Amino acid sequence: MTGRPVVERAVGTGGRVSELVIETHGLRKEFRDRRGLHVAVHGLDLAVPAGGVHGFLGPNGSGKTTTIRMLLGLARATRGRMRLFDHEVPQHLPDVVDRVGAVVESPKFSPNLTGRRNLLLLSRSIGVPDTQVDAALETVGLVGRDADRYRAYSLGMKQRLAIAATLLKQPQLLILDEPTNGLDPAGIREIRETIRDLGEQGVTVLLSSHILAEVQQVCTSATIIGRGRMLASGHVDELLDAGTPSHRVAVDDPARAGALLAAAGLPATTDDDGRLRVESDDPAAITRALAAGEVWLTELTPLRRDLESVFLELTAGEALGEEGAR
Amino acid sequence: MTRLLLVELTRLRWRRAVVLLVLVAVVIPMVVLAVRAWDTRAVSDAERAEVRAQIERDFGVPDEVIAECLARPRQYFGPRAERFTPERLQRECSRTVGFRPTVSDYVGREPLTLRNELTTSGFGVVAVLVVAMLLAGTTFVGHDWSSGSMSNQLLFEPRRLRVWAAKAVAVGLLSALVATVVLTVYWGALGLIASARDVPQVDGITGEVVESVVWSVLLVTGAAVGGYALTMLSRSTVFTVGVLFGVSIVSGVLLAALPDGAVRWNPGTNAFAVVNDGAVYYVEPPPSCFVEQDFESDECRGEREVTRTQGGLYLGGVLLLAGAWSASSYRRRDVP
Repeated sequence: MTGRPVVERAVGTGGRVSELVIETHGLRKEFRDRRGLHVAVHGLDLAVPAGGVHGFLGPNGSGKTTTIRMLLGLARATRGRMRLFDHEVPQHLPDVVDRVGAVVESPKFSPNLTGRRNLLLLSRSIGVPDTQVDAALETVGLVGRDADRYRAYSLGMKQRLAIAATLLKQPQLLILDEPTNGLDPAGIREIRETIRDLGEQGVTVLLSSHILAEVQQVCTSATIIGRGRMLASGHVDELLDAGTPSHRVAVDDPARAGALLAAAGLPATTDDDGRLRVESDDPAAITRALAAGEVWLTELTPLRRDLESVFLELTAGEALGEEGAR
Repeated sequence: MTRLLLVELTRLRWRRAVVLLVLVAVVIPMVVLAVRAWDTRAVSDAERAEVRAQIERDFGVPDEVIAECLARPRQYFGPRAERFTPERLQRECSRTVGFRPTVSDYVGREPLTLRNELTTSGFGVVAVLVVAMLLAGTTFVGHDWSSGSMSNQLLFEPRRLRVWAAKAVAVGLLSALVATVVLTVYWGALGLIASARDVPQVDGITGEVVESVVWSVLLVTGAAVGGYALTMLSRSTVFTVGVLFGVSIVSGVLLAALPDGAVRWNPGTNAFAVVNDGAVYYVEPPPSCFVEQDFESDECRGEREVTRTQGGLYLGGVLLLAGAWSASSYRRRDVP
């Protein structure tokens, strides 16, 4: 699975060829501190097609946030090239920044100002009318609490204010870094629906997350990275379908069944509960091999992988190490 | 840029710490003004008569002592007395051994002369403005860093030098406005009080005051922008204030340890020179002056001067360096 081809000019939803809104080539970020050199991003090639919600997955410390910060001009790349809407960044970031909304890590606002005043300062800096602030507050459900100081907000309200800030620009690209962190289940659901709605309205969303169920539910495509390198990228269905499909088999005599399947060229392993996992996409072949040995099935279930298993398979051994401190 | 500047001015207006410091910058000079008005109030006739009687009682009749001084000047002034003319000897004896305090010496109150206020309370007010506005510039942007909102701002305006400049101009404008208003009110009020009391002022004092106010406004603005630039560099109000505090202590110790001429580099001396068109400091006269008993020549008087130009170049140079370092660092470094 590692090294799975990256979409190039790019297979979007439904197999249409679409423009890329985010591209990176050989992106590298090094940090130097007293303990030496740390490489957070290792030559990352990322391609995010226009439209839909694109998941950006990786274990903690894999370089997701650093990549996002480089794209948004908050951190300098050590090497490599980045493009947003076909513009080289950071050189031409001012040309496209009005089309990009972003929440990077935790929301960051002035704690002593009200939610509304925080948004007003941002909207006025880009010449957006104050009425746009009202609309953004309405969208994220903060009307009525907008006159409260930011420091009095719950974490969920802070996240919603951060999303409201991104909506001030009416962006074509939304970059969200762990947007549901700290939210209660209802809040998570609301944010998820907001993201899905935005994707359906034509906004391209790059959703960085380590909540895999969330990504699987919301995203149309995804990129998985580990230790600052791209491990896989493509449509979510393609990622789930990749690798050898398998079936779960229950029989009275698993040992004999295993031998029969192996003789038929169908490798099988025995799970803790005594059932077999057979690596084959052909249920008829499994049935034939067992019936030939007079072993009768009590269960035959096709196993579809979920994103979590794909992710764990790809990122095995990718726990946060010395590299990727951010 | 104008839009960004207006946003930064609004941000300043909404920062409570900045508002508090502006309040300090207004209230303390007004307190100083009231104190100076009270301390320079005219001496009443009754008070004057009572003080004169007291002086007579305290200092007695010095005529015999003066006669003794005139007769044996060497005992009073050393070998140099031999070079005195009779007129000078008379003058020196009257001034030293025949000293008798004036009424104002005794009361401890001088009339309100603007020339005197320029180098005393006027400079004190400027010092208050410098400290308050420096802290305002520091805390304004320190808050942006500590709250993390700096990165949020850059997501909306990624041209960092523009952001740096807009904030610097906002801090500078606020400081200049506060300093102009406070100093205008301060000197206007002092002038009115002096005029109401019919205290004679030296010719051209109005021009001197206006000149001093203009340079003071520049100094206060420079200090505020300097505080801002240092905090943009250090990214922490506490760090900047700590560094300034440390520098003031270390430089004090250094200046005490180094030869007398090092006082020339004291920021306070240079600030005084900028505000008051020059500052005089003193160095130890060379040993030959003591051998010769010569305390009159320029060299032996030990007086040295920092001119306004020198002071301005020194402080302006420091500000320029800090600003350039701060802006280039802000442009280059990753923003958390």
